[in-house]
Amino acid sequence: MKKTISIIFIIFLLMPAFLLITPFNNALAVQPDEILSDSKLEKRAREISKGLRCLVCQNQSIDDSNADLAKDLRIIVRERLLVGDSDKQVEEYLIDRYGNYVLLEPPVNSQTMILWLGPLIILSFGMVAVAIWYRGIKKTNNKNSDDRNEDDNKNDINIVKLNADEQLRLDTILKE
Amino acid sequence: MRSLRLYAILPLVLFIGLTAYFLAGLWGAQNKGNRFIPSAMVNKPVPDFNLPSFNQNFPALATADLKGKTQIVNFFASWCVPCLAEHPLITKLSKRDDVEINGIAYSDTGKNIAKWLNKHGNPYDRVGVDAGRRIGIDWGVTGVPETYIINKGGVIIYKHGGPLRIDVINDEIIPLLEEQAE
Repeated sequence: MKKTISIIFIIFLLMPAFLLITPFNNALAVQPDEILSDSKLEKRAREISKGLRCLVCQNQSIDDSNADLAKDLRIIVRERLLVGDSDKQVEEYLIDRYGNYVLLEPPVNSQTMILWLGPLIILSFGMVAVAIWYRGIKKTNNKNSDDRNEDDNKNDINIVKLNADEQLRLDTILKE
Repeated sequence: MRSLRLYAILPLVLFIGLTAYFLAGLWGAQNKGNRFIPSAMVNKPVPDFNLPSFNQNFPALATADLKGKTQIVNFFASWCVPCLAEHPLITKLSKRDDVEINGIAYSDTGKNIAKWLNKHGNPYDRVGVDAGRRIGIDWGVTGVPETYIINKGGVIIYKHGGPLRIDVINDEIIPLLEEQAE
């Protein structure tokens, strides 16, 4: 009984690994009748499709989605390739109709600059702030050691300057 | 020490600023309806197309028809429930004489459209049947209903995704129509 349970448990643990090795992982929305006979073109179509948004499901690529519109767009991608468009031209064709929104990865342009550069700007400000803070610490340390050097010249034994209170305590302790 | 604190606080200030910027964008999108997708077609001429009508006795729709007067193009379908919801509003708009109303039946058949218009009334001046959805894609349609306004020169000047509402008509569409009539 215990053995059976542990075997089931192990199978459950291994499940994610099964997902990786079975063809389920790249389960297609692409239907057999859509696939081009030219395997090179089909491969390009698949690559392009992965970067195009299924506009009705919004966070899926048309390569993943079973929506009608995604199917229409997959067919259009293949048609454009058949008439000799480059990958870029296929994307342009859809951008003309649906805007940059059809691309899953936003392109770098004046509208999306803040999206791409925002984190970098914040990071650099943070780094500058840390650098200034660090330099401040170093300066204070240098100043302290300069003071010490002066004291050292006056009195070799006195490494740390004691204030009046501390001196008093030290004296009492030494007297005991 | 004072200036140092100011520098250290800058990333936080920037972060809050960016958060506010993105949130404002999200809220703005929400107010424009849950189907908000920025349209690439606004300010572009009407795409080239020529669609058959649902029957021979009713005017069909082609690019050449969408000129001379301000035009509304409404993508709809007999199987589409929100289209039925906005139908009375389209009918009301069709009473205006400063605009012509055109319907494009998206992913539908002439037979079904004829039945639907017969049942609910036909507010359209022309109807084209886009059974294969190809013309819809040329217009950048992602789903029905969608409504476009075309100026006298045949350029798309406005798009609304999703069913029309009375506030959209009063606040956006009618002011645009009046502006075009001037």
